[in-house]
Parts: sequence; C-alpha cells; structure tokens
Amino acid sequence: MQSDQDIINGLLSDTRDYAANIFVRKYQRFVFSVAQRYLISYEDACDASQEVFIKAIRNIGNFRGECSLQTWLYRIVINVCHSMNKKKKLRSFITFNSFDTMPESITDEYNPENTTIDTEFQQKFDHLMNQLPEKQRETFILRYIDELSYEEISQMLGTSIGGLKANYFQAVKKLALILKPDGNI
Amino acid sequence: MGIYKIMNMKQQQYLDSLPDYVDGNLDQYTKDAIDNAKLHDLELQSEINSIQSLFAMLDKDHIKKQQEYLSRNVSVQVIQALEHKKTQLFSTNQIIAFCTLSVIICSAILYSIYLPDTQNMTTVASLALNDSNHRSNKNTSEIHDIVYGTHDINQLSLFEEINTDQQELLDDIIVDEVFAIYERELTLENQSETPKALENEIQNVLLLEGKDDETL
Repeated sequence: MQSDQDIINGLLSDTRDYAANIFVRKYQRFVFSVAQRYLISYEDACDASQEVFIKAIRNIGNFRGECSLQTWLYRIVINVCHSMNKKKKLRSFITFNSFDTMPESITDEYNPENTTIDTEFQQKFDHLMNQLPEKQRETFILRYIDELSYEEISQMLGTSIGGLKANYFQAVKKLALILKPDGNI
Repeated sequence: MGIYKIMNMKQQQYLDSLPDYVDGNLDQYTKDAIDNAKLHDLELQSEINSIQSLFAMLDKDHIKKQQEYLSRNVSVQVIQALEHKKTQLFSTNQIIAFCTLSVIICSAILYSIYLPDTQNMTTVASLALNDSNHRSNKNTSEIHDIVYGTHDINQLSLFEEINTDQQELLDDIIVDEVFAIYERELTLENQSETPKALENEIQNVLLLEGKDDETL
C-alpha cells in the first residue's frame, strides 16, 4: 500500500489514473462506511462515495496537509452527505413522500444475490449502532473499527481527546449492557 | 479531599482507557497500572470481562470484510466516472462558448447579406422601398384630389387620419397652389380679368384646410 504522500504526488503528476485507482481502493471502505452511517440507502451511499472521490481527486491541489488525507476525506464525506440529505428532504417535501418508507438498514436494500455478505450480522450490527447517540457511535466506529488515533478522531469530530475517551468508554459500556441478556449479536 | 479527587480523576481516566486496554492499544505505563489495579478490584475485573466479551462478539475483521464487500463497486464507479469525463470532447463551458460564437458569426453574415444599400439593393430591400414610394405617391395624388375637390367621398377619411408628414406635404401643395393662383392673378391683371374671382378661388383653397392667407 502506498503512502498518502505518494498518492498525492501521483494525483498531481502524469500518473494520475494509477494514483487515483490506488487512492480509491485504499479509502473506499472508510468513505463508504461513513456515508452508509449518514445516508441509509445503499444506492445513496455508493453515489456519495463516488462524488467524494471525484471531488477529492479534482481538488487534491487544495489539500494543504494540515491534517491527514483520511481526515480531509472524512470532512468531504460529511459535506457531501449533508447536501445529499438536504436534497432528499427537498425531494420528499415536493413529492410528499415520507422518510418512513426508506429501508431501515443498508442491507434491507442490498441485493441478496451474493452469499458473501452476512446480512443478518450486518442488520444486527446496524441496529446495535443505532442504539447509540451520534457522537458515541462515531467515536466507537472510528476508534474500534477504523482504528484511528484519538488525535485524528479529534480533528474529524472537533472533540477533545479526553472527551473522546469518555465517549468511547460510554459507548462500549452501553453496547455491553445491550448485548448482555442474550449474549450474542 | 484533594487527594480523593485526584484519585477519582485518575480512576476515571483508567476507566476510560479500559476499551483501549482490552483492544491492546495502550501505552505500557497505563497498561501496567490497570494490570495491577484489576488484581485487587473485582468491579474493574468484571468491567474488563464484559468489554472483552463485547469485542469478541463484534469481530472488527468481520465488520471490515462486510464493509469492503459492500463498497467494492465504488472504485469501479469512480474510475468509470473519471474516464467518462476525460472522453467528453467538449466541456459544458466550451459548448456554450462555441454556440455563442456561432450565433454571432451567423448574425454578422446575415447582416452583411441583407444590409439595405441604395447602390446595391437586394430584392427584398428594393421591393420594400418601391412599396413605400408607391404609397407615398398615392397619398400625394389623393391629397391633390381632396384639395381640388376631385376626390372620391371615401377619400375624406384619409384627411381625418392624416399624419404629420402628410400634413407638411399638404401645406406645401397649398402654398404651391396659392402662389400659382397669385401668378395667374398677375397674368390676368395684365389681361384685365376680374380680381374678385381669383380672390374667391384662393379663399376656397384656404377654407378647405382651415387656414387663412396670413398663416401662409
């Protein structure tokens, strides 16, 4: 796997296509999972991820290196998801559709033709995450699943490191309490 | 009290570090401190156990694999979108600029072809000019008819709708006619014709237009 600096240099040079490919492959899981948490629909999460990468590749020259590439991408994902949610709300207002009709989880909409995905596990995991407040959920996923440092999460969420540690512990405690009765996910 | 507070703060910090302790992401100093504390603290021991069982259930590698599988199409879509943009011959701005330029060039060509020139008139322009002259001549002859009483009754409506240009034309005709009559008077004076008859003729012309000879 290439370093972020190599990717940036590649995107700014003649080897842009190659660098873009590496860049997308490196961060597609991260970008998609963040988009999935903000936009419920699988299609919307895919569209948002695509838009995020195209924006990032086009504007890589504006990346000043004050934070990590992943933190920069996180901010773009949040912006894209916010604007998509706004458009969705406007569309639903115009067409008088309610959001209640949307699938509860990404896996509800996902094509079950594949057997690789553990739909039941994914649904339970999504349900579990929805039990947490947004800040605790984000902290838990970024720290536990994405394995980011507290410094990076702090830059992404704008919360102090002490606050993040407390959020993480509270999230873990809550999840442990929810899972205690039956003991499995 | 102060010492108790510091202890409590430290205790909270240790508690907040428990998920990282279980996940193996702690520095050696804090890890040793928790290791020592859990030997004597059953509550802490139970807390650590519950976190361990939670993490065992939430297998992060399994979750990552799921996310990777769901996001596998993103790279293909992004590469296709980038290729699509590259293969587009013109950008939207270039198309707009091209269309604007084309419209300007076409307008310039059309203007140069159909520009009305008296030296080199095109068919359309000459027809329009002929039509205008014809109408002007027609109006002049109609005014002549009205002045001399040789008009058709329907032509009187023309008098009511007369415009400024026609009014000037009419005035010129009246002036010409009055001068012609005076010339005739002079000629007739020489030939000893009655001046009274000529004066009446002038008055008739002027009355028809509502003017007197002072205005002329």
